[in-house]
Amino acid sequence: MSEQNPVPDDPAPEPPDVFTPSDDDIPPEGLYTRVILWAADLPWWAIILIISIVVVLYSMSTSIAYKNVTRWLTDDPQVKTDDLFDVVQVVGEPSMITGRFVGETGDSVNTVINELLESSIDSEIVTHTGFLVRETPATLTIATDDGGTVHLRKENITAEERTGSGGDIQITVNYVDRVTVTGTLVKQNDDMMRIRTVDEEIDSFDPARVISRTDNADGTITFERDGAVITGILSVLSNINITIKAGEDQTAEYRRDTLEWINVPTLTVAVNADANRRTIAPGDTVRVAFLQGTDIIEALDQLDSLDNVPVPLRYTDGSAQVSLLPYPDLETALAAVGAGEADGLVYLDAGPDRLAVAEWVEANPDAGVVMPDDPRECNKDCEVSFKRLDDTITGVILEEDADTITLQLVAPEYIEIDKNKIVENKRMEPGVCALNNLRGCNEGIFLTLRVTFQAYALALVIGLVVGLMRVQTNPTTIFSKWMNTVLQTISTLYVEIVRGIPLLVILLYAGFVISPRLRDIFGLNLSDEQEAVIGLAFGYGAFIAEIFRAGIQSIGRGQMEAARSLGMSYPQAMRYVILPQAVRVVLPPLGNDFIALLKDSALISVLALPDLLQLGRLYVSRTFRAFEGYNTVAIMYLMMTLFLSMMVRIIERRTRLPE
Amino acid sequence: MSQANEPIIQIDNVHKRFQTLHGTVYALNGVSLNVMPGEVVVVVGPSGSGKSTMLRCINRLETIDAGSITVDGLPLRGARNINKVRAEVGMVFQSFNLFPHRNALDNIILAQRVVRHRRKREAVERAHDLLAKVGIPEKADAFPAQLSGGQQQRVAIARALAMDPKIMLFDEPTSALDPEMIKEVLDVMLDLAREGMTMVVVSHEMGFARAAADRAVFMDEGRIVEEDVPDVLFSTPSHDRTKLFLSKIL
Repeated sequence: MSEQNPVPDDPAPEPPDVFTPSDDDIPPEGLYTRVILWAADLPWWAIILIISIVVVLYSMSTSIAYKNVTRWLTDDPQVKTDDLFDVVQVVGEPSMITGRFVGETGDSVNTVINELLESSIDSEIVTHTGFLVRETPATLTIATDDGGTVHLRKENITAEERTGSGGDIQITVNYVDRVTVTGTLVKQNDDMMRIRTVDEEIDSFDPARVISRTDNADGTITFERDGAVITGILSVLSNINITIKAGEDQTAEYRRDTLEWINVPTLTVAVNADANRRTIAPGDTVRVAFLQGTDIIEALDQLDSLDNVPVPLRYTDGSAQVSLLPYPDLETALAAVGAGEADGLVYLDAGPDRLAVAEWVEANPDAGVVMPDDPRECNKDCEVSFKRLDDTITGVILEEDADTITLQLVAPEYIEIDKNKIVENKRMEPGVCALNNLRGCNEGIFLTLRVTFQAYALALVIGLVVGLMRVQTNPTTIFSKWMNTVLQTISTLYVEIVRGIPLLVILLYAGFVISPRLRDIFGLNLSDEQEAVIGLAFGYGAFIAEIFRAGIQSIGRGQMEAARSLGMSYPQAMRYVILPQAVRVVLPPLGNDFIALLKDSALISVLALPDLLQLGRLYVSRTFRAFEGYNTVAIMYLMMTLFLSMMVRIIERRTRLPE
Repeated sequence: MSQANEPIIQIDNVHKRFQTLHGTVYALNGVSLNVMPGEVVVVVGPSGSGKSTMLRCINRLETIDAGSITVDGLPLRGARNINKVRAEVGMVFQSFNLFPHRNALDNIILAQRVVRHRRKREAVERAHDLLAKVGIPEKADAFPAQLSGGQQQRVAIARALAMDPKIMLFDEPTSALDPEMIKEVLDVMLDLAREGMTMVVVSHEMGFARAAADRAVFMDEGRIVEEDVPDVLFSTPSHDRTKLFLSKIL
């Protein structure tokens, strides 16, 4: 056996025209195929190992390299990567705590915590001794030895000892005092948590605005600043606020009393007092005065949009002529109007002079000029500029160069708490879902995967049952023939109806039609997630049924006949002969359907489920950053589908029959 | 059960028609045939003459419209458990119909385990014996796709024999084979005939018929035209239709 092919001593040279197959003749396969082939030959444990490595890489997703990639992908992330969770932790310790109460807001007592914690964390268990003054079922009041009085809640007391009797009880208690720490978790390990309780505040401004600077004793610097001039497109103008569009999809709102001046394009109309009631007849000439340098065309356009145009200025195209009379300055123009040279003045200005006509008319009541209406400020979509009031600002300089001064107004404050001392974890929410904060996406990803897997499992069952019902059998009795027809009709109806309705509609049916009916009739309460699973499974069952039917029918009739001729019953033949072969045929389309289902699971966000897409939309609606938000969603889906399609290929390859 | 002097297969005036898009096809028009235990019957005839249909009716892969078929004393029509009858009647197909997802050994074991409920060791032992009997003991682990046509057909025969059938039906077992491989299959069938197996063989292998068959049957248009000892039928047929047919294939 071993010496099968003894090599001749002097082998004859091979004729060159003879085709000799060698490895070189096989065209090289693509990288992807090679990876698949390589992975398909791996044992299962190696595949599990590779999956673990992928998971580890995922969890290392806060590294610098990753940050750079995500910055590149997301332009400028809105979320800080080190914001792990929003937390509210209650820290308690059996000790007596002294602290200075500074103040509290609705949900936090940050100011006082620092002092409390400093005194509490490193202290020994302190006992508290004194005379019992008052005792209720819930509290104790103790007059302490040093002359003070303390009130304690009994639930916080860990140990107590009483001596004496009557009204003179000496009492010693250990009690747990609790403080609540609210903030953003930035770091944690097995023993401690680092929580940022106060967020950093930074302001950057142009050094040219600085009027004066004062160095303070504590190292901070106080700047007196000239108010900033801001220009933008007007969005809302009210008596109290002004809102402008600062950038794409972003608005900024300012109180009007914090502004030194506002320049809004304002249309002012003044008319000759005598001409005010004149009627314009066809053929008349309307003389409109305007100031050289102002935009009269725009002003007339705006005049057109007014409801109550003064009579001398109302003209109709073709029936009255307009002559535009330019004047060099306001004084002469208004004088001309007063003298009757012009019927009216139309004046559009955004500058500081925008109300000058009104002032002039007020100052010269006898000039024969009247203002029919208030000056009309533009209230939307025009360019405005305003200047903020001068202010002072105090902080630590972080960066200073010719163009900008960056000042830290509020330094971030951190608290480190010992995990053992956490009495209660009130809130632990990951930050928003973003590419640089994938933890926030976890919930959505898991929901998407959970719904997909559950729906697919259910759809496989539906599909297999309906698919088997649709397969044409060879009926031998009248009853089985009749049964066959009934089953085929039902299954065909199901497949045709469901395939003809969009999945979104099916999901809405499941959520808003079927589920309420089930609740009313059977008292069955389905969660949103179950509704989504049922809807998706019902919709996909039809497609999977068709795949199974095609797969079963693709197995030749001879296989069934051979199995039956050996004495197997129909179910046995299906179970042992037809289905094992059909599964290999249907595996690729089933895998494709699984991936399609994963993608279509994005539709469940219509049932108000916080799946991956919903989280992405939340991010977009909060930050107005559609690019980053939907990039995140798309990349997450892509990662999942690529991984799954790779798995499908591998499974397909491993179940292939030897040839 | 049937006695040695009673036919093991009784086909009595069987009619079978198929509905097709182009009308009704009468596949069997009053076929009657008795096969005695241990007898080897070869059925010849032109294509469409109803040979295969008759064979398939014997284990009810096709139902009959009129007449009756009795196998081993059990009437097929209305039989409550056709699977019991089928287990006694082995069938070998023209296209082998091995189960491609199982290797040769598993092909032979499957029905023994599922239908006969044999223990695994017993079934494996039987499978190895049968593979040795059909001459390919070394191919136990090969998948059907890795076997030649002749080897596949021999595994198919072994698979049918594993059920210990009383009757073997062969539906053109060598038609899909290369001439070189026909012999190895016919050898197995010859051995089987010598061992006294009751066989109904649809085949045009005159050599096999002469060597092994007790009787040859010529069918045309759903009827049995004539039957006789093979030598007699093939050399001196009495009907013109038989003569015409034989003149074309010989």
